[in-house]
Amino acid sequence: MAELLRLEGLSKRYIGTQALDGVDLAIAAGEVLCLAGANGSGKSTLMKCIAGAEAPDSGKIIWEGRAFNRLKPADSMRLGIEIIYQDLSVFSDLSVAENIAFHVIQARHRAWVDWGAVRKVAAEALRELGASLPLDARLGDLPIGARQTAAIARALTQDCRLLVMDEPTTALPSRDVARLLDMVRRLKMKGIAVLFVSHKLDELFAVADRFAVLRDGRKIGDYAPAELTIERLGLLMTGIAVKGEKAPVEFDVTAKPLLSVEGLSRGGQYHDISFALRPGEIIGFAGLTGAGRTEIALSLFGLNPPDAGRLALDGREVRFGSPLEAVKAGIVLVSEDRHSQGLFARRAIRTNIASSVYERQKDRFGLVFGGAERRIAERWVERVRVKTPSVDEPAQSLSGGNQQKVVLAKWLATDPRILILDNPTVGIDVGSKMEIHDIMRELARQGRGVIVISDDLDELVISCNRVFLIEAGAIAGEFSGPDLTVERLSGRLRQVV
Amino acid sequence: MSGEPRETLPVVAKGARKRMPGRLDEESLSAFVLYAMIAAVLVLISAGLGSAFFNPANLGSVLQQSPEFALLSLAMGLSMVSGGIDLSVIAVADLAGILAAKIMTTPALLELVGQTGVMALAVVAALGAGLLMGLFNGFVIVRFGIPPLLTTLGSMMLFAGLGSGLTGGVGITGMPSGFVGAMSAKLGGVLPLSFCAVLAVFLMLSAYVRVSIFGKSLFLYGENKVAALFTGLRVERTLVLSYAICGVLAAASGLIMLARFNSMKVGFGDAFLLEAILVAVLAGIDPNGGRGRLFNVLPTVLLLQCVENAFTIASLSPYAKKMIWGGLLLIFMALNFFFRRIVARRLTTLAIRRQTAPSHEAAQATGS
Repeated sequence: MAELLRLEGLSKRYIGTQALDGVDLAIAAGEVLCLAGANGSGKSTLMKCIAGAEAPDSGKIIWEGRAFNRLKPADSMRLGIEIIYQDLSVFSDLSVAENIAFHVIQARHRAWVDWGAVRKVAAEALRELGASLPLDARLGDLPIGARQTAAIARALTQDCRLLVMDEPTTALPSRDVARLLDMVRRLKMKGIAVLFVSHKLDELFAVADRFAVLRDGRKIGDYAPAELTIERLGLLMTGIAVKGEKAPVEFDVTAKPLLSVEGLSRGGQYHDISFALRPGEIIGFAGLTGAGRTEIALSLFGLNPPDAGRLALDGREVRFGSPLEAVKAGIVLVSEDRHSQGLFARRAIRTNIASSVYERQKDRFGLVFGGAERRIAERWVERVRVKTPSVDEPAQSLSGGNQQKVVLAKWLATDPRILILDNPTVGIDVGSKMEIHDIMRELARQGRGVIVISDDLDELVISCNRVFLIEAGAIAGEFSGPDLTVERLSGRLRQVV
Repeated sequence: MSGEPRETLPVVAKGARKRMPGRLDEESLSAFVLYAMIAAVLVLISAGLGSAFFNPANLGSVLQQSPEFALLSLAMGLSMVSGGIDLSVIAVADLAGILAAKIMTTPALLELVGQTGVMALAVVAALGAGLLMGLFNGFVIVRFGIPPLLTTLGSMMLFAGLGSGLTGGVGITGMPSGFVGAMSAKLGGVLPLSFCAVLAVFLMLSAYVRVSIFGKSLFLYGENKVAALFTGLRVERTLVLSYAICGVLAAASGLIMLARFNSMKVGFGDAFLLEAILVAVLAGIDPNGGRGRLFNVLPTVLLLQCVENAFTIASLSPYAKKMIWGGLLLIFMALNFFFRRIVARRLTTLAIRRQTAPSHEAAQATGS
């Protein structure tokens, strides 16, 4: 097979993260390559570099022997690279035919649209894929699988030579997965290269020629499907090298629960969630993105109010109307997206940390002076080891791991009784990750309750006493003691899919 | 591996200060740009006009003419700190001024409480009305989630309409001499009293915003609205209070206008609206919210007044005046935004450098 695209030593940095670090990757015409990696491993950045949406800092992109320092979106389209993003980027309000044959509609030098040609081109593309869709249906009315088919058909009409698909199976029901694989086989026969980019590649074993694994911005290696099992792939993605030991903190299982949740439900998001969190316990929430884990966490934190169910703190029923009330009661949330939800990026570290305790620090007139702010911040910067020359620096100037520690410090300063952490270590370096795990255990040892939501099963296994599997908004399983292993969890997670 | 105690990393290392010069403060930088420009303009004026400009009478008139505009710009700046805007400031000033004028020109009231009494009543009523109008803006923005731009556009028309209804569109004149006289009063025979009052307002408000929970919350909300909510700040209360203060400032400005012109009608000072926005931005207040120093609005207003007076002394034609005026504003903005970009770029570089340092240490720590 002739080599189509080769990436050499591709590197890209963002504030706080080395997204790509010298990645080499090659794909031949008619090859199906699966690029596997966990959240934050750099696969989206790699895809953006191929699409021309981002310029790599260094490295080369070589297309059929022609080397580029970077591609622009127009280059990438001209070369025949088609990207289908997770959201599919289709026009929901246009018909199937209009979506597929969009370039016919766009054709220049024409005063009106040749609807006959639109239908013909669309029908032809669908025939090549062996798919059938109602050409005149509004695309938004069709199920996700049909929309994806239309997106692939659209790529075909653009003389696509490399089709990149972002998380193609994540939201797809299993019968549609089979149809997708069938289409991919047809593309392959036409000599079109297909690059799947995903953290969930189990279904793709049947069709992939090769797997490439990314972790923390580096390529771990290329593997033939024959030499991989699903478990091995999972371990390669999450990284056995940095795997910590299973070291849950002991706690008094007979103690009165700190937080008890009974039958918590919210329409369309989650239902009948019940559990008890005891002092010193670390509970984990495993599950797929969109299973309702974040929504539950938000409800515990006074946002996203539940429709039904009880929430009791120390046996007393509580109801939070805002995060302010939750924080006052001692529940805090380190949210998943620290940039948009946790951090005041341009503000000083000192302000970031003290912002959670203004209410407590104020004097009679509602004033808080700089000295108080600084004292609090310096204490916590030292406690969680934020690496910075001074607390006056803007939070923006810190690395990702240290930014996360600032968010953590902000909440620790409130002396919370219950900490909820939503994917606390996504996209941060290994050292900071281990430090955050240490902090979690330390908090448990002090008798606080901790709830961790994580996509990183290893993270859950090494620090949690119990892990709940959340599936389609409900608790589908509980793992603890000897049952709590990465293998068990990932086995169960796969069944969910 | 993870169980081993890792070496404590240097935390607030003293030496690090030298290696990685941190403190890249956008606010200080834009303040520096502002003051450098003020100095440059003053040098130009003094070279061009000399003592024709720099004489006590002219300087006094600069101070005398700026108070009402300074207060309006301050209100505008304050509303921009939260990432919003208050387009109703002029309408609030006019309506408050009309109320005060109505009260002071009602003979029955004058008979009842005397001149001083009626003046006090007018001032309290105007400021109270400003407060209510500001509270109204804030309440609508918070309760109904209508963007400030649209809310205040609507309330601007509402307040202007109310003012027209009260006056029938004609000006009210003939304020008590004590009220008008307060405007021309000078402290120690030099400093206009009105300017001293405005200076005090600026000093107090900027200090209050710096150290109060209200001010801190307002700036944090402007910086990142979602994070402010997630941090448990009292977002709604803060926003309502900020618009309430805008209302009071605007009303105070209305009172000053009333005293200066000895008359008030709807549509007074409409031209100030766009200029107030420009002044706030020039003073370094980020229209996206979260950045800026309110006090710097005052020197910016004075600078513009100096230029205005210089134009008049040099007797430039109104057309040339307008052109130079626009050009100056554009240059100011361009410089400000240019420097802001440089700061942003330097911060990125700094973060990357700091990022690479820990990953080395992490690699050593894991022994890979």
